[in-house]
Amino acid sequence: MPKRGVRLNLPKKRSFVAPASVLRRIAAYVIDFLIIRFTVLIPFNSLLKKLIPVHEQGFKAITQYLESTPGISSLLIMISIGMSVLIVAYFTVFEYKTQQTPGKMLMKQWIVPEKEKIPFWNYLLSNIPFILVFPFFLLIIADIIHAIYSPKNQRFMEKITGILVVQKYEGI
Amino acid sequence: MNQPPKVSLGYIIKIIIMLFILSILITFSISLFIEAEPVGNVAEIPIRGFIAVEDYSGFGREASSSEDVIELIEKASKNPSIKAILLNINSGGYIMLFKYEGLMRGRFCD
Repeated sequence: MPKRGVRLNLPKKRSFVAPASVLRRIAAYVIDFLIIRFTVLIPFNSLLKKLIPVHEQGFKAITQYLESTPGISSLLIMISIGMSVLIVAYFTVFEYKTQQTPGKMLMKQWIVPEKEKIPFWNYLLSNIPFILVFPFFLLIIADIIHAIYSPKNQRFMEKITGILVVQKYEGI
Repeated sequence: MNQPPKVSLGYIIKIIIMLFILSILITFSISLFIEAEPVGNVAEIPIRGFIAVEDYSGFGREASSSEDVIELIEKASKNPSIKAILLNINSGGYIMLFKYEGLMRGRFCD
């Protein structure tokens, strides 16, 4: 059977790699935090229910309970530290081992070194803002502001540690 | 560099399971501290003046309604964070009425 059509010598679809967009990065973090919430942090649910028996009675009841229960703040700090360890471990392990997290995979992003090979400690350091204890979480504000104004959409801690998140863009 | 690294789904699940196990271990360690340090509240219910069965406000005398007191006791006994109820009573001639209502209703906490 003769071949139909004429082969047009059109240029191939071109693609290039560039820093990931802020919106896609936010989407990746949302996915990651959903995964963390519904897999890694599940054991903390029962612990918090046990510690705050009035958790179903609304925000006001919880606030009153926390204010009137001595010693609970130290336990809550302990829980925050425990959760932070897991969140930081999630990002650090995934990024170190695979240069991606599940959220980044779904958003087709990956990590490349800005200059030279990224050591493990840099991955760990870049995720320090996820520690939910004062003063570490203040770094999130610096991270967000830096990501918005940086030409490479890098978080502040990523800039310090030489980490760059990129994605593939399809062009004509 | 121009392509995303290829990662198998099994590897991702393996890492998540490892983190989950770590989470269980951390939770278990913290729960040991919680059990070692029992927490709870004391509900203080002030009862002042004349104790009336219903709302009473006669002759400018201070009064407490036993209905209200019972309601507060019930509310406190249903609250799992409250481990003890303290009745701060400054009133004369209350005992019989209070005991009677409490026993008849059988609603006081343990």
